[in-house]
Amino acid sequence: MREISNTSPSPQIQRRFIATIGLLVAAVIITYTLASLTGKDNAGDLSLWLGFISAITLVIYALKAGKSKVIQYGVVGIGLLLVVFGLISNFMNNPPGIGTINPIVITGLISAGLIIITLGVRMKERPEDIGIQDERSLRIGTYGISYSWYLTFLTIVCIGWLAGLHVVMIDGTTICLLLIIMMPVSAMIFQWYFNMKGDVY
Amino acid sequence: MYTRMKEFRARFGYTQADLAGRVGVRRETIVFLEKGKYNPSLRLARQISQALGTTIDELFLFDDEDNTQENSEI
Repeated sequence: MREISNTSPSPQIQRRFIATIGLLVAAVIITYTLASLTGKDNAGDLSLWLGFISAITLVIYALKAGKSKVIQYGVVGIGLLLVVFGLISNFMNNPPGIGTINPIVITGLISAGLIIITLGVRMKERPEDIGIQDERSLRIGTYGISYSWYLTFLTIVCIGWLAGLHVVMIDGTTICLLLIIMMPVSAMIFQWYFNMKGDVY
Repeated sequence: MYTRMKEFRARFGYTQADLAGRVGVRRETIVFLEKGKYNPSLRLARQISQALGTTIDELFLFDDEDNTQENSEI
């Protein structure tokens, strides 16, 4: 990993970053506790999903916060954690405290982990002013998310239509995973396209 | 839309990064503005024109501007 120039985030952003980590960890713990109290076998699944979403949210937030060694190592660390957890889950049928995990979720964990590691390692190559949210980047960001939302809506309509006609039968977990991956990835693709184009019009 | 930003920037000896820093935007935004691929908000156009010591009218020219001027003269 090459040396990265330190443009440390401001104390306000650092405080927000720490608060975000705290909230996400608390959300996972609370979900796991509440799910355990219900006495059903879904505590592991619920906390795993929430942990997965939290990790991705945290990485997106960290990448936008600025460039520093701490953030870079943090992002790579989260990616490694997902990959290691995915591999452990793959080789252990019932990881302690988690229960049975859907193989699609394991694939998602490992894939997301590898993408996050790549993003973290490539932080050095990103331009210096990537963290600045000016009117152009805000506009592109908003349009990218809007287009992603429309695409997701169309996908759901198509899946519902195909399922209604009994052409395809997809289980809920697969649809959830598809949407969780599709929404941020399509938003990033649209934002990349608008960024290359220069404007959203 | 055409801009004369590059010309005015050269007069002050500013780099794209300098100008971006002065108006608080990303350097990429200045790049796309100079290429005429990005339409700035009125606020940003004013900030840039002030930073370059000129007016919006002189800095940003539109494709139909010549026709409009001819029509107004008629």
